[in-house]
Amino acid sequence: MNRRITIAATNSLGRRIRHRGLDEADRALLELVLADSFDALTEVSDVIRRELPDVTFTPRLKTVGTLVDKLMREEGMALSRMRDIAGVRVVDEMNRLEQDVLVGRLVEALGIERPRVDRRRDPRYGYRAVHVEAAVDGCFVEIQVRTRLQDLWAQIVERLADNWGRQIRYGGSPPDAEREIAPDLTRADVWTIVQDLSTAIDTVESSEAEVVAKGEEEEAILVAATNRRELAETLRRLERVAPRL
Amino acid sequence: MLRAYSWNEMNYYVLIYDQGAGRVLDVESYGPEGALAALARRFELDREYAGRPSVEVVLLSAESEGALHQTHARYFKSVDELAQPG
Repeated sequence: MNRRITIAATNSLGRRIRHRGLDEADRALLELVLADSFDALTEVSDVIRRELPDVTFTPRLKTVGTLVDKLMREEGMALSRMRDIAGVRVVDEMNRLEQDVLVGRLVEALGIERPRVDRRRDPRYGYRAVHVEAAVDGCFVEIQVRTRLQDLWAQIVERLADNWGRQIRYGGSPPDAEREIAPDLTRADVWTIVQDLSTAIDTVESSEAEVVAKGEEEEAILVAATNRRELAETLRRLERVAPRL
Repeated sequence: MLRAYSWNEMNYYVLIYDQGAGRVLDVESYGPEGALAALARRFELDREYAGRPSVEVVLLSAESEGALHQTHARYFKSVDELAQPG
């Protein structure tokens, strides 16, 4: 892959955007950065398709708005070091042990040397997944591997962030948290349920991994079933308030 | 500036999403040979919607639009619909 724009020029561009916003001349340069990331994304996607033909995945290129927001939000970040301009998402019905196996297959197929980011053990404001990063000629491609439940939570929060603002994805409280959005219902109430859902998903997934690890031991199965019921109840709580959002 | 791409059997989608309204305004689909056209179109739409920060222009690829609904459900479903079992 031949880069269209050097790393030094990419970082100068990032600094200019941070300080004065995105003008037309810099938009043209940003398109070169995005096109380079698209090349890297293509190479990574081709390897996944060839080496892991059973895996369904979705490549995507970061939007201009979220890219500029991230530059503004993360003061010291060099544009060339932004890890998720190009991304691949894999979502599948799997337990955490199977998730580990899938991540291992991706790491091997892509020759990834950087350590994986395990957001199951170190969740970010409730977000859980495993991320690995491939690099092609200095362009990073972030690969997000999520179970269906981890993805469900992430999608709900992204959808809420469309209405409430993206700060909730980065640890902020919902704006106007105490204002009633319906009788006896505030955004803070909804946010509490969403955080409870994150915890319930973690509990279910941990206990279901225990079932496998303990060879289907009866007590472990009972614990996992109880946790599933609690997760279903938390989802019902959210479902009851969601139409009022 | 743009090169040929080879995501065999992957289709390309340029999705225009209005965050404020919470709905997809349009999805343009391109076949497996359409990467270059989709990337160029995304850049064109980025400029067109530059003055509307609530509008996202997203370039995605997937085997089908159904696969997009699986991995990027937030564009297609409300919180109510996401929370429903199944």
